[in-house]
Amino acid sequence: MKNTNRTIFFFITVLFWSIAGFSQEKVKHTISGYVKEKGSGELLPGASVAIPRLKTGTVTNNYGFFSITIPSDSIEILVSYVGYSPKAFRFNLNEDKELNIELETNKNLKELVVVSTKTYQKISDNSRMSTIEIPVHQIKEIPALLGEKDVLKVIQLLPGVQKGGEGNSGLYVRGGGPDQNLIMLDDAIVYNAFHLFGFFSLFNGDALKSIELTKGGFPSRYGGRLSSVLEMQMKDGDKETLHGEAGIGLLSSRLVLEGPIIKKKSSFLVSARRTYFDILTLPFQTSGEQVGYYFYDLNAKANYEIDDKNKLFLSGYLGRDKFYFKSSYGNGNTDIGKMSWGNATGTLRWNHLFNGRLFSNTSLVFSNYDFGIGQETDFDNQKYKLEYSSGIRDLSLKYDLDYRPSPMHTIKAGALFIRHTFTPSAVVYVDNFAGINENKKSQIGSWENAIYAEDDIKIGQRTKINAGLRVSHFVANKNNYVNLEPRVNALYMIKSDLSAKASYAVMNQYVHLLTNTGLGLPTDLWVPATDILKPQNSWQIAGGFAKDFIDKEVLLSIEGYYKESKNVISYKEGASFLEVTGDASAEQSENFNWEDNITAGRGWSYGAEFLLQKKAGKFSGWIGYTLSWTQLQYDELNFGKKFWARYDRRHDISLVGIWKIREMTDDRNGITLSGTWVYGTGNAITMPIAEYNSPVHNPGISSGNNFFGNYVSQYTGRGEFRMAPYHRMDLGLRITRKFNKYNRTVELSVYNLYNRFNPFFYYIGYEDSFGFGTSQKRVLKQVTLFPLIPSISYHIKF
Amino acid sequence: MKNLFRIFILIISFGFGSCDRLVTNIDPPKAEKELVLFAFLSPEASNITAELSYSSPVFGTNNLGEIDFISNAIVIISNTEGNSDTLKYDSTKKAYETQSAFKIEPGKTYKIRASFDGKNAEGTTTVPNLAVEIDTIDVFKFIGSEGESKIKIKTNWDDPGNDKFYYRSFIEQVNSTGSGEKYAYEVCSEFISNSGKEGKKMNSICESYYYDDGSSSTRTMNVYLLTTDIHYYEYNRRRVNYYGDDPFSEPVPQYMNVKGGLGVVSSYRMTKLEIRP
Repeated sequence: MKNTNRTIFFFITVLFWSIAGFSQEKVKHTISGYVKEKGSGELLPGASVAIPRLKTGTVTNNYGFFSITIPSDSIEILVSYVGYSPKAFRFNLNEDKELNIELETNKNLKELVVVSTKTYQKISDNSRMSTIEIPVHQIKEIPALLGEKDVLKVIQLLPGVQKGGEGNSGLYVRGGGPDQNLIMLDDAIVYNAFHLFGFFSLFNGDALKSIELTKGGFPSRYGGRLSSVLEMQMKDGDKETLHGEAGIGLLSSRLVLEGPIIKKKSSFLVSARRTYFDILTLPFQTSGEQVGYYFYDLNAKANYEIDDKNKLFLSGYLGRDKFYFKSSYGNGNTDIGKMSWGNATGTLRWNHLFNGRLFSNTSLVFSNYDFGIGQETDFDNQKYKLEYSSGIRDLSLKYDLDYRPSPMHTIKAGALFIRHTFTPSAVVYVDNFAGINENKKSQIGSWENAIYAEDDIKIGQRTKINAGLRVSHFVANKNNYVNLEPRVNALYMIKSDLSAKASYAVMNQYVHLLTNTGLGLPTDLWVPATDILKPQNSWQIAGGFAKDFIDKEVLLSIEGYYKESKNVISYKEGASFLEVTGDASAEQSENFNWEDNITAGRGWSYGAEFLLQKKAGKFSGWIGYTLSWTQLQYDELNFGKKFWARYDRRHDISLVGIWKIREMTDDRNGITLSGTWVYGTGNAITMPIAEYNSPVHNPGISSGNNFFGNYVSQYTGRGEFRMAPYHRMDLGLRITRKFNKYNRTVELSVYNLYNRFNPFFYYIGYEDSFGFGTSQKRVLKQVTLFPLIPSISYHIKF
Repeated sequence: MKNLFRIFILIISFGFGSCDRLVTNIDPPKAEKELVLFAFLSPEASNITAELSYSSPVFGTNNLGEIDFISNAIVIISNTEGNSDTLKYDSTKKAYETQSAFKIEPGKTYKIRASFDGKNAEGTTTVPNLAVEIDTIDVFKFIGSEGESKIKIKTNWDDPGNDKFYYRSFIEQVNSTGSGEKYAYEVCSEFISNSGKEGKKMNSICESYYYDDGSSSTRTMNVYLLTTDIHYYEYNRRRVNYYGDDPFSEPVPQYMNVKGGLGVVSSYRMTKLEIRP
């Protein structure tokens, strides 16, 4: 707390000092406006707006808006964005000026056009650290399992981010669990980002405009999770022409359509994907026995530009996984089982420009995640039905202000109000034979609120500080929590292309996820902080260097971090998620108290991360390396001793390369070859090493001779056994051809090129697979999920 | 087209088909055979009993599924006053028992040491001084939501406070055979500590099915309250929650206080009331 107070004092002092400084400067004017993609009118977040002579500049916010206030003078302004041709403007600035800029994508330029100015955006002068932007076009170029492009799987390739296990899309960021990541799609929190037991994520990149991952040094506008913020913005839709994209792969088909509603004023985008494994297997099934599984995603967005100062955006996501079986026995007798889970989000946003310096966004957001499992039997007109469901529903209001009084300051402030409705369990139980018809539902309501302010301050030519404070508040079941969360990022320019950075952040998390540690099953149950389970809390410091190799358009980032967490939750030993959510008994579901199965402890994570990245050009990609340690300690686990977290990973390496062998032209195919190679230290697991007789003592007559003989396992210490290292190489080849009215892409990819048998889990088996008996030799065996898997997919863009 | 369709199915099936194989790139964890010693001592128990066996490493060709009892070890119980007794193996009970007047007394500390084949295992326990008495028992019979007969039994007692106390409430239903021989089965068992409730009234609530055939005069329930040492409490609490290994839950490592081997040497006091619901 003492450190927290010092940090807050430091922040206020710096803020006061710098505001006092800029208020004494001479007369200035403001240049403001939006940066858009030429043709589609798509707003571009994160575009660079620089004034080279003054050695100053800014970047557009999430809505493509920029504002820069500088002294009156003749100026040159340079606007650039990765993948787009930069533009320069010269004019005499003697009054406030509105400047809406359209950038043309590089791919629209003729090959012979020489782009004289590089589009490279520097990392060394960005005050934020531990933040990585992924160009969306790279997501589509990186090879993927069964050709299903997956944003979260690409993010797993970044330093500081680990994956849980083979094929799993869960993110483990700087030692944190997958529940500690704030995943936002157009301001809406996505609570379960996975399809098919975690093998695929909801996001394939079709509908996305920008993706940004923050692993530490969180600006104060973000909160509510301990480990990371993954912010994704959906595309707005083309305001000029109707066009789309369709694709067919081994697992799913997809369609994207976008176009104007009112030309240059309003547009829409719809993106849909559905798997068809259920349809393909239908001919192999009998009418008496049917079983199937599918998932789908639907993204939609529309926007309307009311006038120069007001814009409206309406966006939503709907996705669901469904697994079902149906058995028919004749005479109307049936047995039906189903399991279904999915997210729905909706965001209504209003951008309002008060003036050239002050921008606001108001968001009204809905988010829902639900899981349901049920069985219904009709036999001789007697119905038996048992349905269990759980979920979380949010309705939130968010207001953000973006004030840019001078190039020395970018001030952001805002407020957030979230109404959570948790449904830990809802049970419908009908049994005509027993005369039972019950419908029971437990719900918990809570409020999660926050206010924040932050300032991106430039002090002199060498120092930048992003300092902020967030005040978070949570109330549920009469438990009130208020916490101060100071955040500071600081940068010192050692040279024009080399900087040293440091950050400090305090985070609180008021919602807990009860999830099993192994598989990414959909039975995740979100529950609020209570008087027993306190909010999770962490603080993190990080320091490092950022270097730009501008000529080569390559950035280098080296960071070290240390993070401490408390009140992180885990299942108690022996407790299972099956007891928590999957129980088939109405009575047990009713009596179940999830708090009894959970325990809270502490976590420590520290390490170093290395990233060498090239975002654009003929050859792009990155090299990432993470050296890390993650330990946990719970009074009720492992006899109170510290242990390595399951996903503690000493070494994690990822190599990603995208080589555009040939650009597509009117008469020539475009060819892109891409490849990834990953290596990770094996998971830290607990293994049985011996068995022994371990009697339960019972007093009284029922004890017999007081011993009930029974075997139990003797284990290694928790997390003391390391699985074999994980490594894998994937390759992809994209061949694109231009036709009159459309472009066609055929993609061939190979997952796990050298057929590495990575362990999914271990078990103890017999050396001879068919052996049975006490004298056979027992050995360690493993199950591997994905051997070498080739795939092909076909896309057209029109 | 049909062939193409079949190829699609084959590829998808191949993609999701898991592969099961021997692990050759890492060594499985190693373990040696160890002595396993168990004893639950009590002044209220009819005898002093200790059980000794060998553990079996899971990897290799060791025998699993059969308890490897050790019958010819030297097992000695001693207290801090220098008194000791050598326990004798009873092949019927497959356990070592005292043959003398050696007694377990409240408040005293006992050590059991087992020696066999060059290995030594020993554990120590201090018997709780107090046998906390059951204060009252509330019984409530009712009909459950599915029309079944149920019973709720609330066992009440006063925690003495001023120290850490560990309890186990245990209820068994006792029936008689036609020949009058009694047999019993466990109805409820709960482990409770007085942490946060020092010196307060404590209780344990048991809810169970209750079969009532009208001859309840011959059916009784024994309600036990055990005041235990920490070793008894921690070991048995974890042990009853052990259901073997499954991929959905973290393993439950068993509590141990035996040095040089595995197992627990522990103690308890016991009070009992009989009820006829």
